[in-house]
Formats: sequence, structure tokens, C-alpha cells
Amino acid sequence: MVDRMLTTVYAGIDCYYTERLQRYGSTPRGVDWTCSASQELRFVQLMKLCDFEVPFSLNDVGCGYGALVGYLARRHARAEIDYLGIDLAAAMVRRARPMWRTHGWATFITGNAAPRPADYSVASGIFNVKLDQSRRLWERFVAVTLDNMHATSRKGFAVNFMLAQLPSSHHARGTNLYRCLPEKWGRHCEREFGSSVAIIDGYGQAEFTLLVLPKGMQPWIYERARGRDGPRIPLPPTCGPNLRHGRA
Amino acid sequence: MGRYLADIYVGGLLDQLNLRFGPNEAITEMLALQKEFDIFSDKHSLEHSFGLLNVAPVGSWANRRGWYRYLDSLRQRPSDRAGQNGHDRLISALKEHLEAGQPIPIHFSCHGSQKDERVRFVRRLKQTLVYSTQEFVTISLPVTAIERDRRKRRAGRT
Repeated sequence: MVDRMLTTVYAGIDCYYTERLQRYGSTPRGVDWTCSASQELRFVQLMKLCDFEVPFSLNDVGCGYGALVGYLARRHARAEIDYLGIDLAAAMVRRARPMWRTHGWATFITGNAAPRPADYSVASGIFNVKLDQSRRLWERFVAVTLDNMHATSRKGFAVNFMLAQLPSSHHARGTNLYRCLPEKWGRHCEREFGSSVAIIDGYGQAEFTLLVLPKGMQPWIYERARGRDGPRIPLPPTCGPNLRHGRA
Repeated sequence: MGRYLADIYVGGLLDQLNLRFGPNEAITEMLALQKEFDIFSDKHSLEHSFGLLNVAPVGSWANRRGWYRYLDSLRQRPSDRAGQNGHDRLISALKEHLEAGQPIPIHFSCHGSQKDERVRFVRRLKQTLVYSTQEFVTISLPVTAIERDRRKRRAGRT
């Protein structure tokens, strides 16, 4: 019964992002970010999970048009990554494949969960827009997605959420956004998966990133989560490659 | 900005700037973006930086290009800092402010270039908005009112 309910959630997400893609093209706006800088700031936090010194495989759940591939190619050009992007919206995957055709290490499939185990999994922004679903059903969707990510990640996974506002805030009511406190899903991951959880926040908009790792592994992750200054990186492309040419 | 983009886009453009550099979450995110990507730097043009932030007229490519040409034209304008043109002043003002680490919002406005053609950065905190107690630093861009219809413009000259 619950799974049938989730089918309607998946259908709603597919419909929503297909419409966004048709409207804004394969650009940050097409996946609900204001700009590529804002989008990539989230990638910076999520990718603190990964050790780029050794080759690794990566599942990108809710990959959209594959913006993470462009980010990885620019920021971690020397890293050896086996990337799989998974998205509910077939239209997104159809757009991603030709867009990143020259990046032989990146592949894309349509689906609601990764079909393969990988070293790491990440999901950026996929829990933010709950559309008109009830909070209860949306949290079921979050829990199932986290379960899948845990089951298919050998070295850990990372997700981000919008931070709950004060109850008095007008943002807190009557929106189609899902917000929560870090403790809610952080504790869920500790309890259900026996994982260690690091929380990253304070990087801009009211949101946070959870880095979820097998218990006792990789204590360096906490140092990364606190923010280790790395080298400055090349700028993201302006407005996405297509916008400059007026295709959006 | 009439020479570069239609008048009706100017208000929306200033609104976009004031939303992205506004109080609380907005300016905090901008600080984080500057720290991570060095968005405002002498290595990048204003066109590149604002394009990256997607701050530009929406829904009109001609006006979007016009906005970028306006930003480039600031190289020909003076600024309130001696020896620095308007384009570079805008970059250095934003860079210095965002890297100072204080999440103080920036209010963008414009002024007539006939009276003062400089790009101005007012570092002194001020209650810029009559309906708000929020204090801002201010950046004011020089703009010129120009008749967009060439025939009328020519007729006006004679």
C-alpha cells in the first residue's frame, strides 16, 4: 500500500521536473537552483564525503541533467571516478546523455534508486520540493530513499535538506517545500544504519548537508565537515552552457 | 540604462540584485559563494560574475545582452575611488565587502549620470529603506535617460 503511495510521489516528481526542464532547459533553473554558483556550492558540501586520492564509484541520485559531472570534471579533473546518474524524470536523463557524451566515465539511467552498489552516493536538493504531498508521505519517501542510498553505498552517502524555520516565520507554513532539523534525519541514520553522521551547515541559505558514514570509519570527515580551506577552484560556467546561446 | 536595455527591465534588475545581496540568508550565501568561488575578482569581468549568479533581465535575450554591455561600459566610467574605473570599482567594492566576513547586506540603486557619472560605493551603514530598520551599505550605478526611438532621438537633437 505504502509503495503504491510512493508511486504517486515518484510520478509527481517526474511531472514537476519534466515541466521545469521544458521551461528552463538544462540549466540550474531547470532543477530549481537560482544559479550555477548556488548549485555548485551544494556540490562542494556533498563531495566532502569523497576521498579523491583514490579511484571511486559514485551514484548521483536525482542527478537531473548531470550538472555534477561538469563540476567534477572542472574541480577534480584528475580524479578517477565511475559516475552513475539516476533520475526519475526520463526527460532529464535524455537531456543528460548527449550533454555529457564526451565524459566517458559518466553514465545515466532512469529510475528511483541506484541499481548498483558504489563507493559513495549523493543526492542534492531532491527532498526540498515536496509538491502537494502530505508531510507524512514525503517523509516516507525520504526514509525509503535514504534506505536505498545506505544499501548501495560502501563508503557512505551525503544528502542535503532545507533547514526548518522558526514556527512564526511565514516561510514555515503554506509552502510546498520540505524543511526539517538536522537531528531528525541525522538520528534516523545513526539509529537505522548504525552510521556516523557529520552535519555541515552555515554555507549560505538555510539548509544543511548530512555526511553519513559507516560507524567508526574515516574520522577525517569531521575535519572536512568543519571546513578545511582547499585551493580556489575554476568558476562554474556562466548560467549553464546552453543559456548563453539562448536555448533556455 | 536606456541605451543598453529597456527601461522596464531596470527596476526588476535592481530587485534581483537587492534580493541576492539582501539581508540574512541572501548575503550569507553570497559570502559563502565568494569564499568558495572567488566570484568577484580581478580575474573575472562583471559580465562573467553576474552571469554566473544569473543576475540579468529575465525573458529577453536582447536586454540580457544589453545588461552585460552596460556592465562592460562601466570601464569607461569613473568611480569614487581615484584611478579606478567604474567596472573595476564595482568588483573591488563587492570583493572587499564580501571578504570582510560581515554579513552586511548591500543595497543597489542608481543615479543620474548627468549629475555624477561615477560608480559609487557608500560603506557607511545607513537605513536606506524608509519602511525598514535594516542597515545597508550602498552601491549606486550611474544611468542615463535616453530616448530609445532613434527617429525621436534625432528629432530631439535638432
